Amino acid sequence: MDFFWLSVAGLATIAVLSFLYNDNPLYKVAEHFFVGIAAGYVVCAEFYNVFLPNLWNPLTSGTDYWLVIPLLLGLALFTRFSNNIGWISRWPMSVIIGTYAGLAVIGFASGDMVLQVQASLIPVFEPATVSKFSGDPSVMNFLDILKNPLFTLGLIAVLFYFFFSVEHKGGLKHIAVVGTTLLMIGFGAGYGYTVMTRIALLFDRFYFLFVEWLQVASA
Amino acid sequence: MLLKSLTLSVIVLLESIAVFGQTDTAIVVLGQGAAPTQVAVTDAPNDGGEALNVSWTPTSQVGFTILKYQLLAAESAAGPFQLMAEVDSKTSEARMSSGDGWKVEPDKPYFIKVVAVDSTTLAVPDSTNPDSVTVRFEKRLRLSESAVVGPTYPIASWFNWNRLNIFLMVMLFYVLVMVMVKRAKAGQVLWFRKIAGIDAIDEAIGRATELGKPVLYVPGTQNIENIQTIASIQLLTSVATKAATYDIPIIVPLNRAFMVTVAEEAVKQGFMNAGRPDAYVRDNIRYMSDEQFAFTSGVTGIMLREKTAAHFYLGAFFAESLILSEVGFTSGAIQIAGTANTHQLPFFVVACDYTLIGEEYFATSALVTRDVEMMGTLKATDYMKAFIIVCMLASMVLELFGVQFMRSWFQVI
Repeated sequence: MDFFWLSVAGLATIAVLSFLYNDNPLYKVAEHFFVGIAAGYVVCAEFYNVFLPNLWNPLTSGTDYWLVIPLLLGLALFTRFSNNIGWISRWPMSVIIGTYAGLAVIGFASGDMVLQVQASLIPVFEPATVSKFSGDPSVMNFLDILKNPLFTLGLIAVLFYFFFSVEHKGGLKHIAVVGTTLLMIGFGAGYGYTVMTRIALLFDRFYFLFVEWLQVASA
Repeated sequence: MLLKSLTLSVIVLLESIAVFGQTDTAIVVLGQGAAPTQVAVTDAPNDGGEALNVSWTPTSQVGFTILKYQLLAAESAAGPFQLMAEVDSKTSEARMSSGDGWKVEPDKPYFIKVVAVDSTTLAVPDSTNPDSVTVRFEKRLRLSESAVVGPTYPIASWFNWNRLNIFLMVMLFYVLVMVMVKRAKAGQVLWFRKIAGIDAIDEAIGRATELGKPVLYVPGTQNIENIQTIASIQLLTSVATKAATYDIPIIVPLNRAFMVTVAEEAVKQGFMNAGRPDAYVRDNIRYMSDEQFAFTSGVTGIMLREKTAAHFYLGAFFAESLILSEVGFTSGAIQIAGTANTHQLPFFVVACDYTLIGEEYFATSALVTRDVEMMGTLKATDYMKAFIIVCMLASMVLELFGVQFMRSWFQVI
């Protein structure tokens, strides 16, 4: 039985990888199975993990009557199926969008904005790097001194690139170009790093196919 | 004589090994000698009534080597007391918020006691030989309990003063937004530089029109509570308006069921703006799957089978960004992407014809829709960025003179 399910997983893997050749019936079968099974699974998972414990059980046990409000809002979404009263579904939408947008403001302010500003407020030179350079005047130690000023100036250049109230021309254009260049360097590093992790995932699939399933190779 | 001395030495050596070789046992001896005094319990400020602050004075008695302190709490003076926290012996204050299986809740009475844990060596009768008068030495933990203090009631604070800096920053931003929106509504022209992404959107729809193929619009893979998805829905209406104007179908695959309702509204509104409500096709707003890669494979299937000519990936994306943009690239479609998820931007930059980076995406949303509230907000964010740049430069100068005021002010506790 184990080998049967291993074979199902192996054949599904081959079916998905066959997309490298072209869009073909094998890939289409795998894709439709994947989408259909995932959709069905999510419906069951939401019903048992969200609807029952968070709404139905507290409501029917008679402890949280206020939950009738989200129940009504949820039911209102189904009015979409009617052309006459479909407008009612806009109410729960507005409640959800308004609530989450309001909550997001505080989350972003504390988690992103203020925290990132604080992390960016650094001294021009770290005293420790200066004393290290005076003890050992090597190139690396000199570059270490430049770490903070380069970071700050680079961050200002990148911020300036996202400044939309000023035309990027003349001398200001050079600042924006520096900002763009720094962004691209960062993206390049991020791209390379992620491609490496994706290759690791590919090897994991090959390990499954040749070692665990077909057993034509050993670990 | 020599033999007697040698025998005694061996006995002493064996006893020493017995004493120091033993580990701490679970048996405890209650004593008051090392008990902490002056235990004070107060409500922890600036929280939701979920913690108590406990302080104590260590014993002044000599001869005790305290290993640690235990904080015990109960909802009545008679107990049962539960262990809430353990702190090292050098500490004389602690914050108590949760324990084994239960946590501090607002407006409930709590009785607290602090227990000093030290180690002692006891001489106990050798139970293995009842006729013997010999004793064994055992190392044991000794618990010295303070008096029970309480009741103390945790109180939920209305305001967290530790986060005053966040409040002031948010208020500053709100004031800027209000002022700018008011100016925009009063008819004042808010000037912004040209963003190439706006032209790119027109170009992509133009290309789809030339080929007579549908437009594919993916509003990210997050639900409507994500701010990027909200911005994407604004753009979806504009893109739908342009597609309807040129009589091009627009397909919107979704991976959140709730988004179907929102996307239907947005696209329908776009077709109505273009004066073509009859051209709106409800079946083109498609829920695929909540599962990330099932959704991705479904979208790639649409790209290949329906030969979509212009792809828009605008919203919050994660690992699917690389697959979507690469398959879209191989299909030969013109691709426009925009996200604030910085880790996904590299893949869009590599595989798409135009990428809206971070805040450019939000700016494009504002400038395409020409919505006065969004334009005012965009102008406010520009002022906010200028303020942050000034803060950074000021901090650099101040830090040179050893003044760390700004860094500490922005600290989030």
